[in-house]
Amino acid sequence: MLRRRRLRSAVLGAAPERILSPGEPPLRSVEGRIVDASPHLLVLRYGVRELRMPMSEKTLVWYGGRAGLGELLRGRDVVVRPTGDGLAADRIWVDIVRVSGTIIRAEKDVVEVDQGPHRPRTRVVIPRQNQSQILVRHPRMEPGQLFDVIGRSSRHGVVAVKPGTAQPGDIAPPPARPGGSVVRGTATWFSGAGRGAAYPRVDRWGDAGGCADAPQPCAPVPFLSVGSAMKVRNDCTRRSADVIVLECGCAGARFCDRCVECGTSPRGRIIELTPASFVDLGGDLADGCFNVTVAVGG
Amino acid sequence: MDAFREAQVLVLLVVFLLACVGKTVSPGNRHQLAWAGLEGVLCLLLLVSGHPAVRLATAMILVAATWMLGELKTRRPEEGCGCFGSISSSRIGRRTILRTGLLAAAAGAAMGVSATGARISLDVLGWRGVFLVVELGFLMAISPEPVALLKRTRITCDRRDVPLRATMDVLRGSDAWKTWEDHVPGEPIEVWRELCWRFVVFEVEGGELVFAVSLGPDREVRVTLVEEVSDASETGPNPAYVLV
Repeated sequence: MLRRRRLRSAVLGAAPERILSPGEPPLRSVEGRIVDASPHLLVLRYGVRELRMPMSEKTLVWYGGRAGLGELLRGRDVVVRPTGDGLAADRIWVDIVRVSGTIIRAEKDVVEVDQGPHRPRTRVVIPRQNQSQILVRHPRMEPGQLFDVIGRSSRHGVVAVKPGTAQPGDIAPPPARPGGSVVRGTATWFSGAGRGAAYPRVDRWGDAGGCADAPQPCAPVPFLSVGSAMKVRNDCTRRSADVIVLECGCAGARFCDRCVECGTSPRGRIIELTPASFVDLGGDLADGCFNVTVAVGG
Repeated sequence: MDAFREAQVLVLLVVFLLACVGKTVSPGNRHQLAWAGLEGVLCLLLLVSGHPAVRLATAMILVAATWMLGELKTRRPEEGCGCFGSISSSRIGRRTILRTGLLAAAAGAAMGVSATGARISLDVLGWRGVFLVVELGFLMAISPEPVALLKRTRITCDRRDVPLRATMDVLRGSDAWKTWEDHVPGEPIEVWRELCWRFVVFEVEGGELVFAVSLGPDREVRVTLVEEVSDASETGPNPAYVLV
């Protein structure tokens, strides 16, 4: 990923340093698979590394909702947000996944979703107790409609827990906004590994990484490529970090919703972060979004 | 009446020429290049021939195109018709179908005109010219492309879709290219874009030659030779303080 930034700097010179102020440093989230868990210590494996995170009575666990330490079972995947001092686990999300895209097939309690060319088609089971909450945000559960839920993975596929968007999918296009390489909108997350982001307007020509049939994004953001750098600030927590574009957010480009975590963001998803990057910036995976300012390029 | 029918040949000539140039300069996809070729051939035939077979073929192709647009409007309206290349990317509406239908009718009205397009175009003063201007004005009024073109001129270069072919044309016409032309092998090994710049990388003896081509109106091209580039990843797993 650094290769393109180095070549760019070689031919154009170093990009001017941009600071989104006021800004706080990012947290350093941890992700991995549970190896062992006791009331005071969580042991994870990430690749070949083993990680140990101390836990306290203040540590909160999410497993399809608020859960106890008993859900920290061996073999489950977790994302951990550390406390401000970085010494212990503040919040742990267990087996959390997100599915967003276009409905291909919809039955009474099962939905099949096309998440775009870079992500797998996914079958989502909607349990009866969560149906009313999800139907409020997705009243037209039929092929062609947008769908976005936060859920947990299980042996039978993804189990939907709550809607990931604050509005139904079928929304009129937004009015045009002025240009500039600093844009404001909504940041969401997608089930991807490592740190980085999917960006809704990756160039389709050459090796930039975009899709030939990608829709025009709802937010009028400029063109970038896989490997481009962005400065991202969570406008709710004020935490900011450098984030690299990992893939084209072709599915996210279709969403024209707003985030209402702290005030109302302008319409359109301008960035989809991996869970680690989303938590680094102070986001809550169960909430699904935060208002964001992004400085692109450089 | 003859002036009206002869004016239809000129209308078809102008529309086919614009469609051919639009699709060639800025194709939305590869299929459009094939359509551009067909329209170019039709344009040429209308210009040099008054044979009834040419008139019939033109009318039949436009009738078929009207039917195809109707199908596309039902199945994939959001992709645009691509009638004039990537500029025709707005949603297919009834007016787009009406426009092609009117052109099919114009082709029908031109049946039986024995004069070639070239001969008619030598005498566009009088009623022929009036019909030509009025019809082209009406077609423009019902077309989404003029509005799209106006919007495009207001879009800054970092938000404008620029085909790779246009970038390569700017690159090959630049002084930087002329300096390095003899050292550059056939195809670039990597091409990507960031805001108003597109980067084109060639593998040359002694390293990689990186061209940065401006996508703005200044058409600036910069170049540098990079001797060694590593591809280290930045997306490390987890912070050091929790490692044991």
